Amino acid sequence: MGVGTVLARRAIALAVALVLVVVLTAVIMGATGYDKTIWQALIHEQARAYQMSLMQSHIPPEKVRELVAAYKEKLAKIYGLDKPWYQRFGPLVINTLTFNLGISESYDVADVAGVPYPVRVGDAIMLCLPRTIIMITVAQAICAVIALYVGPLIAYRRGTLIDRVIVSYAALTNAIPVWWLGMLLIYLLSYRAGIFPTDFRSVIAYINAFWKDPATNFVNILYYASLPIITIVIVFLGSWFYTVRAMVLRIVKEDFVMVAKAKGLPEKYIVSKHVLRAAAPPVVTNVILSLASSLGGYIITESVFNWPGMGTLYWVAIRSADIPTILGLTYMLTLVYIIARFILEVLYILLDPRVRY
Amino acid sequence: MSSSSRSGAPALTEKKLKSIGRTLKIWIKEILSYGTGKVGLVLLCAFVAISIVALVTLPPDYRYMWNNPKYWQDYPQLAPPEWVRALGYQNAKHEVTTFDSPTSIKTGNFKIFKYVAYYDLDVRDYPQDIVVKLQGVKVPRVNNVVAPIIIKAYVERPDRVTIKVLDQTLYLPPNTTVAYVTEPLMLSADRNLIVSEISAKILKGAGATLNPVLAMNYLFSKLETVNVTGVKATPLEGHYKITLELYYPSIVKISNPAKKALIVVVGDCYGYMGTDNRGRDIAQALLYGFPVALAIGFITAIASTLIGLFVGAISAYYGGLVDEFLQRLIDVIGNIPLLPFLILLVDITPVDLRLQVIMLVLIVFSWGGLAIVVRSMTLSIKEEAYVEAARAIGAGNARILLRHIIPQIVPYAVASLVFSVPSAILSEAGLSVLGLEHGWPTWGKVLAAARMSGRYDAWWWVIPPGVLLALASLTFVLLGMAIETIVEPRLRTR
Repeated sequence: MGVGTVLARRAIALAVALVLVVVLTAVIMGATGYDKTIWQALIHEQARAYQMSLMQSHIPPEKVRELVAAYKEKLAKIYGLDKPWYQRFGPLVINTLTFNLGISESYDVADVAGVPYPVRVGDAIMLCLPRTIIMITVAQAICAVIALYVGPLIAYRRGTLIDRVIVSYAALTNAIPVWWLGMLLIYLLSYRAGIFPTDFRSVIAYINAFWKDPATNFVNILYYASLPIITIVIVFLGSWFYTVRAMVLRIVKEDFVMVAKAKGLPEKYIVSKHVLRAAAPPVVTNVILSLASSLGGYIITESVFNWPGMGTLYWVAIRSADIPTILGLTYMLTLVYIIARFILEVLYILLDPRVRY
Repeated sequence: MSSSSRSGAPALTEKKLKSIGRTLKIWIKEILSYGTGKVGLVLLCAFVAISIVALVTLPPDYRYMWNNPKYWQDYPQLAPPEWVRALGYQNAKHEVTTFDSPTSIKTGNFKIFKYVAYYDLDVRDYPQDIVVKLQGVKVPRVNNVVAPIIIKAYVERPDRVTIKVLDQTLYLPPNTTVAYVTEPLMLSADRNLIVSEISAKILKGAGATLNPVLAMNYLFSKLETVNVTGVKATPLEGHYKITLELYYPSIVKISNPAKKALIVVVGDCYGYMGTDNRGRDIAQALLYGFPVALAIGFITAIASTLIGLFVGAISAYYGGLVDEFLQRLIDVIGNIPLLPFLILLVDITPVDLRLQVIMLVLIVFSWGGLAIVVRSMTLSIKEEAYVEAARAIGAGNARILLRHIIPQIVPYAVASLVFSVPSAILSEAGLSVLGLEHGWPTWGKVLAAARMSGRYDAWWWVIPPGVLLALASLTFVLLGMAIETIVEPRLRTR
């Protein structure tokens, strides 16, 4: 099987997953009648407003009732409630897949985005994406850099005190929920010590107006973002250490490293030239995958910090039952993840000559 | 091999059980030889033991009790654990005095049943409330008509001033047919009454205005008038005597009006773990959280491990179209971002089914990784000579899979199972903290309540559930690490 076939196959599987996610999300919301109840509430509200305006212009009550009923029917037709759910969601799915994400109906979504209502779903996502990158992706990148530097060193000193300390640290932080540490640190460092802000939502202003005064805004953003970043780095550094260490350990036992050792090559040289080269594919996999999935935002962690990123946007969209935002965001999150997966497949083949399926 | 000649089903299962027991013994011995394994195993045993205790001791309708504010009325609200007093914190103690029968009975115009309790205020703090709780109150009947009961309570302060804190006439429902009122009656101190009593007896009608919200503080303090209309309260330490009186019509023939009478001085600290903002005992919720957490974790882990094990083995063993289909399915499932999907599904599920949906979704989405590993292992095992030999004897596919291939993989599957136990526990906790209700009192729910109330400063409320969550996952990570070193010799340090 050639490289091209392998990649084509993977691409198809990824594309299927992408479409499936959007369709499944739509089916879940349509088949359970989730969207119908929302539309009906909306129609009810509009019909009542219409009724009030009619009553004020002295129209006989029977006539009002008739007009309101007709108005309700008209609205139901506009929202497509007279048709079965799959006919309502068909166009919606196709629009989403073609990046025609539509307009959000929720005030809360506009509030998280930090712009006046109503907001286009695409705009809301583009506004929240950089905030998630600042908080979570930066934290993951910091972890990756530290772990890639320290991991091989501890793998070479396995069994020593420092190795044990780092493995225990990994086990401990692996067990701690990051959002719980967030709650503790918010109390200790923000409320008690007053070092960091208590309301993280205010970062919106500085990020949205970043280019007006980059220097000052950068400092302000740093003030808001440091606590979330510190929290995430503390928790995730442990598992990063452990993964990199395990990968390097597997390579260290391989014959070609033994040969290099037997040749009397200096240890530093072996680490950088032999071990890291071979350990690169799995390590790169880890880096890219965690960066890609971090874009989805840590919904719970963002919510604990009240950080206006993609995770909070998704949660707010679900809370306010805003179907266009839910669909659009699910689509974009999966798309980013899947593109990262595909890049990975390509890199895997490029980096490790042994991988040829 | 004489036992095998006795060929009978019971003998066979007994042999099998013995062999499983032997393997288990060897495993445990090996696990114990690692420091991590030792700690993990001890923690696991503790978790299981506590879960059993919780299941045995807690009432079956605890779920509803937990969400019912009425049940927690005589508990202090947002109170730290009792042991903080030993650290020098100024928190008034919580004291419950229980009576099976009245302290004294006086007969005159009324039959007066008297209960006397004592309370020591030994810190610079005020109790939150005084609550009278009567269980199984006897219904007085005069000429076949239910007569009212008068309930009065007094507090005699260290400065010899007696303040009436409760004066209420209790009209029992006229159609009460049973001799006892089965629901416990609970009465809190009457704050308006206390305020008027205090202005008459202590402030002697001076112009100061008292706020009924602070009635308890006044009741337990030395009061001074400041600037004519204000008062300054400082805790009055010493012995307090609390008297409860039940007035029955004197002609009724009752010697004990209540099966149980409780005088509760609601303090400012409670139990081993304190209470939350609704007065609920956090220790109870955490205790009940043990079996729920273990059940969620184990059911999800076992189900997804079994699916992964069988799908992986079948995929590799049969190959061809089956393999292709299953591998693509794993690809697709593995590429779906789980958390957003889970949140959406749980949000549209009715509250009663949410916990089950969380578990189901995690099972459906988390078997893929193991299936890939199992597949690659099966591919090499399939080519072994003994599998070929089994096939040559005429063993069927199912037999070869179940007897020759899967047993080889089980150790890896066990390691993967142990590692995956915490994920469901943490997912449940995370979703609770996010704000998705599911009605069960879990560790996550306790944390969620703390987050909703915004009281991060109540450390006894925020820290213990998080520590338990961390300990639970630590247990399985440590155990998993030990098992992994046993099944993957390359990871051994010795």
